[in-house]
Amino acid sequence: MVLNGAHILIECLKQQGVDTVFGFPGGAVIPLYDALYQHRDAIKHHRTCHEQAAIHAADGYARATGRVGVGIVTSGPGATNTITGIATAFMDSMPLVVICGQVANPLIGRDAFQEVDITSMTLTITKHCEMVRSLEELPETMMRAFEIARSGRPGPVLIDVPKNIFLESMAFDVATLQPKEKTSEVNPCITDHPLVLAIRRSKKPVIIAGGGVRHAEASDALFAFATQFQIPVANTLMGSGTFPQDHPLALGMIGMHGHAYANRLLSGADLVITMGVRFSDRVIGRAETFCKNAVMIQMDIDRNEFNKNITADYHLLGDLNDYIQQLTPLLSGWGGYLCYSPKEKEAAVQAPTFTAQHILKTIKGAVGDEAIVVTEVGQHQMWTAQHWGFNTPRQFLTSGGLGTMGFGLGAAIGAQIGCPDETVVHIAGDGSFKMNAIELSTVSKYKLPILTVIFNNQSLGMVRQWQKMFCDSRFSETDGDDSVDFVKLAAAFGITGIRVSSIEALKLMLDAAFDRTQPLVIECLIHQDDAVYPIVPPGCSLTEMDEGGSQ
Amino acid sequence: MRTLRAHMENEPEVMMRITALLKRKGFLFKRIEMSDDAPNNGAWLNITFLENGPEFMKAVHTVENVVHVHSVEEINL
Repeated sequence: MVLNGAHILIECLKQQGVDTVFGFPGGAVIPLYDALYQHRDAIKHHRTCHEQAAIHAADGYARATGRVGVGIVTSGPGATNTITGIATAFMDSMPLVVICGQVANPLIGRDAFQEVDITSMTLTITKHCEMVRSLEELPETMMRAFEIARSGRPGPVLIDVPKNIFLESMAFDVATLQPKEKTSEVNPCITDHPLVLAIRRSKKPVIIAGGGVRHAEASDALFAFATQFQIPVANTLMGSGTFPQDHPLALGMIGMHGHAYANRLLSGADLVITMGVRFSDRVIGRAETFCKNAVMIQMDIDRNEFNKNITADYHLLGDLNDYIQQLTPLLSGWGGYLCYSPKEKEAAVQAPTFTAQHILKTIKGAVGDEAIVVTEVGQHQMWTAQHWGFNTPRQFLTSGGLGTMGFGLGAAIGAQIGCPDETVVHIAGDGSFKMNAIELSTVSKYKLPILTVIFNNQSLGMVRQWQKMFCDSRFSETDGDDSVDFVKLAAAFGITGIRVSSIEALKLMLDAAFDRTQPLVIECLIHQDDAVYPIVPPGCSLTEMDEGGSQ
Repeated sequence: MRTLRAHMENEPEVMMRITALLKRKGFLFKRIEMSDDAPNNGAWLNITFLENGPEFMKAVHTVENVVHVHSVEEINL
């Protein structure tokens, strides 16, 4: 069959099992959007208001479903608008394929209208990027893009397609596109590895679960391993939900805003097994003091993570599930953590004031334990990570590595489209929410029943907190922002908006207005001085936490 | 000083990606040479690093992961 490049690209998407894409049309991709229109029964396109949100939506879709997220944008500004979204996905190892239109081949290099060299711009924020040189290359390039995006350590791939390639035609048979058989590398045998003896000698071991556990789909293996040997499990921000937080062995989050008990127990460990952890500076504090008395075993699928931020005693490169399975019989009879007392981690119960902890508890009570929670970046993000209590690995979607304010609403859109039967809660600060608030239009257009909760402290709370703690309260450009009426803003998009300032009002409004079929925006007015504790001041070790008054 | 040699496809994008990734990871370059006399219509990319950069093997592992790079080795110039 003779097809043009646009239709061939659609056939390639279908062959990869893609039925959902996010994007924004423009001149260079008009032929592709024409083909999408003709295949609209097979591939559903969702148009956001801005390309950045389209990529965040594809990212949120990938995080929530485990599938590859696909974004389609035009050349020039369409392409450059994707950069923050791509970098966000790259930093958190999320599988995306971003298809950018490009000006036609004869115009490349002539500063044509809407021409940018997007592959050069994204070299260091993609797992791979390339421009398609000819129509004949297109099918194999697309197949390779998906293979790279989801294999090994996942990541975003950008494919730049000149407009003429969409329009040229050739004979094409999708049956000729056979995906390569998976050739997963086999982990080495660790039966005689000295780390086995090191583990057996340990009396105070701790596991740190990172985002790699989710990518490896190793949560079940982690749970079996930890519970069989009674090893407490801490998690990084990206590892939230990889071990159920309601289990007695769950320590909670470690790091700058980690749980105090988790930071303390980790710092006293004599052995630390890390699984899919990249040792971000926000996780380890001062590197020289991080678990300095512990034997460190680092498991990762990416050898570039070894000795990057922390020098471990033992490295295991490869699949987590396999290493856990190999270790289990080798540790038979070992006693795990001696004298572990989960009761010590229980925090003091506060009076139910209108603080983040109680707002989140109230929201969780209304939406249930299974809800997918998406955050922006800032204080509300850390409060959510600390207080929600995630029990499953694809439940908490947040921009951990890049820390992208404006990520949340787009990602919530993608998550809701990918998981239409789930309740999606979007938790935002007022500062983050305003960055991509226009996407309420997309929520309204597709009638997505997303519950948005805005923690409004009329300031950029996290930066303000740092200014208060480290700049003698010189609140430079962070204070006094009450310029937006979020209730009216929601109404402008046909969405119900509610403002509350007490737990009682929040409960009443949730009972009255939250029905899981319509979007809803709840603005919670909180105090500017509500702060995130604990905090490990920059340059300090995890044991030098300031626990504030809330712990 | 140590020198890395990559056998890669003869495309400027591959060279750009390698150098950009190494720069991002903090490597400092003394010399970069690319020639098109490698087997299978490929190219050789030789990069000599200044001594005060990150560990040499990190560069090798980084370049090994780049698509369209066939092999990476250390050579003595």
